[in-house]
Amino acid sequence: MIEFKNVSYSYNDSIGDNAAAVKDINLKINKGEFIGVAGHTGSGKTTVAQILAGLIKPCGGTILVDGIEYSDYKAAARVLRSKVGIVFQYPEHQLFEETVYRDIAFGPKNKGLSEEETDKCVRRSAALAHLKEELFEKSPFELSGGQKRRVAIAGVLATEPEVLILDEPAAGLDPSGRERLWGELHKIRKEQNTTIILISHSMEDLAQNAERIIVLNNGEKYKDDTVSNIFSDAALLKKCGLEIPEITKVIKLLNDGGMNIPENIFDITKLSDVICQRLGATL
Amino acid sequence: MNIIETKELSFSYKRENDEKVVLDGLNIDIKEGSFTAIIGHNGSGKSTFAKHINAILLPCGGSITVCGIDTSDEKKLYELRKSAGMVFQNPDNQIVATIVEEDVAFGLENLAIDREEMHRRVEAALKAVNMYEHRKRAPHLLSGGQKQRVAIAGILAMQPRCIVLDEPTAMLDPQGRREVMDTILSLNRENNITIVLITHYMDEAAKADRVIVLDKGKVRFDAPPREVFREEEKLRDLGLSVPDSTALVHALRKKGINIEKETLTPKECAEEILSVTVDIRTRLKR
Ligand SMILES: Nc1ncnc2c1ncn2[C@@H]1O[C@H](COP(=O)(O)OP(=O)(O)O)[C@@H](O)[C@H]1O
Ligand SMILES: Nc1ncnc2c1ncn2[C@@H]1O[C@H](COP(=O)(O)OP(=O)(O)O)[C@@H](O)[C@H]1O
Ligand SMILES: [Mg+2]
Ligand SMILES: [Mg+2]
Repeated sequence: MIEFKNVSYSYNDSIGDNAAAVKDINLKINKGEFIGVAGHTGSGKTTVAQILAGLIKPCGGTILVDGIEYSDYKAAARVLRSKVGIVFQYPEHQLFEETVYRDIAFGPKNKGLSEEETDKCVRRSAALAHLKEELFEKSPFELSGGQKRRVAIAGVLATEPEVLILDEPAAGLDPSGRERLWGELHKIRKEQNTTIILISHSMEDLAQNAERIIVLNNGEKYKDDTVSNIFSDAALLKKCGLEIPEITKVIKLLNDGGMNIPENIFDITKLSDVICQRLGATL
Repeated sequence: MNIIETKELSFSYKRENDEKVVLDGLNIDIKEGSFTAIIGHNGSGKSTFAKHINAILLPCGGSITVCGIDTSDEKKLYELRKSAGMVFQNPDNQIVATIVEEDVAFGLENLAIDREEMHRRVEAALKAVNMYEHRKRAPHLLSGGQKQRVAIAGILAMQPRCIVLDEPTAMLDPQGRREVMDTILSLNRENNITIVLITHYMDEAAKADRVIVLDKGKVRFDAPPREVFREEEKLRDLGLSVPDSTALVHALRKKGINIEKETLTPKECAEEILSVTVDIRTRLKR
């Protein structure tokens, strides 16, 4: 539904090509996909996300939305903004109202929904984001990091985006907070067929949640493939500052030791089942 | 010798209506030269405890001494902060100067030491974190991991005995995390600097000598990582987890496979599993 053709972006036009933050990127985002984005700090993840969300204008290339190529960037931006919601890397940067409720209500109100419709929308989005209604009258700035993230997510969900981008949403969350967040994303996707784009530095989180992973390196698209294919090449990932998940390391070592286990298992219970089968077969 | 000692340390951020106890009678002694990891769910009190170590916060009840200094002794505040440095989560908020080596020297400006000694210390600190070759660069052009190592160098230049790191890798990419963890480990092993590391990454906590689990301002577990991570279910109830290499062995045990050792790394985990297959084969041969 969204397609980039040779899209580039530079924060500073005066410097040469090397300084571009995003270089000549081609990619396709399909309806309902769960896409992971990985890459070293400064590889261009946030910049790509902001272009997708129609927040910054690319310096070159074209963007197609639902197959339509827009010659006028303003028109493209309007469509992108109406379809794509983004939860920023620092949720503080997108909370601005005096209360949590008003923050979440901002989007739907802006769209012209009635008081009643807005209220319904706020409650539904808060529930989806696992945000307790008892926090509605608090100031967003009094909340913990995890709670702020939930308010930001609820606020974005309230605009009913077709594509939800989350820029490193799990940084600083404890393990159960991460698990809960992934559960919520899968639920949102299932219930509303929302496309999810998850930017993360945790290879484990990407492996367990995404179907496809886009790897950026120095502003270029380095790889764009299924999770299994991405994590099959440890050396290649290391070259661009990334790693394979811990569980994949275990499988590789087991296979070096003569076991024969598919490397594309990212779930611990599933892996333990396969190991048991293999041990059973030796018996 | 204990470098940090707390006795019934209690604290609450006094707010008129709800006075919630954030640290609830902590008794934590930390030995000089040790590497302690602190884990706990969001809001369990980890950062509040860390801020007591260099007197950003002072106890409401009980006491804490660091390097023999009672942190509420205002006259020794400077000496205290020199001995126990802090590194925070966000690499962008900790850098003050426009050139790496000036940033590292910044904390030394107030010390009565001569230029030459200052240069020596900055050089040694940058070499210790493997950033010497970048000394002339502008910090804002560095990667997250490099910035964190510059922040650590700034503290090292003060020649501290203890460094407290509050989620220093939370915002870093995998390579940055590895660089910072390697730096922490080498400072602990080679320079005998006491390390207190707060983290949400269980594989990082597994590298410490000791893991303290905080929950609602209380110590729930306090033992070497192998013992703490044995308690997977209890940790999950506390909002935590265990390294994947530990969890896999636990899952196999549940299915009746007899692996006794707690494994903390992929290498240990694979070795244990492979030794089970060897056991089975040798038994079959007999
Ligand atoms: N506001 C900005 N002004 C100038 N350069 C920027 C700005 N934001 C990002 N950059 C630069 O653009 C490149 C890509 O950054 P970014 O998209 O934030 O990467 P990532 O999200 O992968 O860490 C980096 O080199 C970064 O320094
Ligand atoms: N400046 C503050 N004012 C009031 N309450 C605070 C402040 N900082 C933290 N708290 C509260 O203290 C508790 C412990 O917080 P903190 O030490 O930051 O936990 P952790 O670092 O383990 O996530 C939380 O309930 C948090 O909301
Ligand atoms: Mg970013
Ligand atoms: Mg904290």
